[in-house]
Amino acid sequence: MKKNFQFSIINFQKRFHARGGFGVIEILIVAAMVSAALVGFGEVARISLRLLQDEKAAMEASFLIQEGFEGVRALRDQSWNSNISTRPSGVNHFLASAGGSWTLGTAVQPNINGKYFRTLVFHSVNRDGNDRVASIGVDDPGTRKLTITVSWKNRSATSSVSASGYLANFLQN
Amino acid sequence: MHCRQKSLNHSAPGITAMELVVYVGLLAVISVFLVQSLTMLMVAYRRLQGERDVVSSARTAMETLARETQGAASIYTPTSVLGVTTGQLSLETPLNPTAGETRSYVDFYVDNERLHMKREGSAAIALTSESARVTQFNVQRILAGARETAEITLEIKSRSRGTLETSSLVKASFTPRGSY
Repeated sequence: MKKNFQFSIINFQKRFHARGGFGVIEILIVAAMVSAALVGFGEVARISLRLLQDEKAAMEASFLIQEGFEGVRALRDQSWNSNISTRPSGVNHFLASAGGSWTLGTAVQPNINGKYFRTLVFHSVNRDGNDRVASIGVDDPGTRKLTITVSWKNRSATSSVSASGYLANFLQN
Repeated sequence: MHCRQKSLNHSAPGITAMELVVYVGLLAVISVFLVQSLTMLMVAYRRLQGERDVVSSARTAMETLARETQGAASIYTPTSVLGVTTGQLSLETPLNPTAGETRSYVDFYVDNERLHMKREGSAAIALTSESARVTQFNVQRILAGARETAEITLEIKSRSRGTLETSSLVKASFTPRGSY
């Protein structure tokens, strides 16, 4: 039975080749190649979609970082001595807006938009003998460093973006 | 007669029923796989297109809002619509004043599910793609002493509905710096 089957396939192919057409084997090969190409395109689309979703999350997080700086700058403009200089270094702070005003404190805030967790950390700034920012030197009470981090769950892992900047008491308030 | 019949069969060999079943079976399996792959590919590309439209619209809108607000002198409250789902942000700005003036006004508002920017004396410009729809443009005015900040929540969704729908909810705040 097996022999007959093989014999028939050979005959089938020979007959189609003799007629200049194409056989089922060719159709199968072409179909397999097209399938492989489609699977490849599908994988490209899937990876592209994942990258775009990651980019979207990073964009939303970066705007939240920008908001953090804007809020703290507004509080600095209101009063450096009351809102900025007294903040302990290295402690997580949380910024929120409620009732038309900014609140900055150490009480943990819920995730923004149900997804993003934002922390603000103040650091003291030292200056060397040439009045340049340095790791070792004299503490400058008129300058603070602010690091804002936004983190979020990204599929099975946690992603985060972070940015740092300096705040200066240029309004002398 | 018997010999003649046998000879005829050998000179024109046919295809057996077993072969036919195997061929048809293989073709059927491959056809189903091809159609499914093609359908999944089309769905993936539609989602991809939706994501791209949403991300680019959100980015363009927010960057324009940031640039215009940070260059403005103040939030113009008489024409701003604050604290509603689709509100309006009006800014008083020293940028691009009309002839003979030192200040002009620029409005941001939602019309026909697209975010628009309209400068005084100019036609409105759409900031979001026509293949994306703005479902939320909520503006709040946040105060810290005399310093005011525009807190903006912008939600953009793709035009596709159901499982193909994708969205972005962006929250940002911008402070007019014209008075610094």
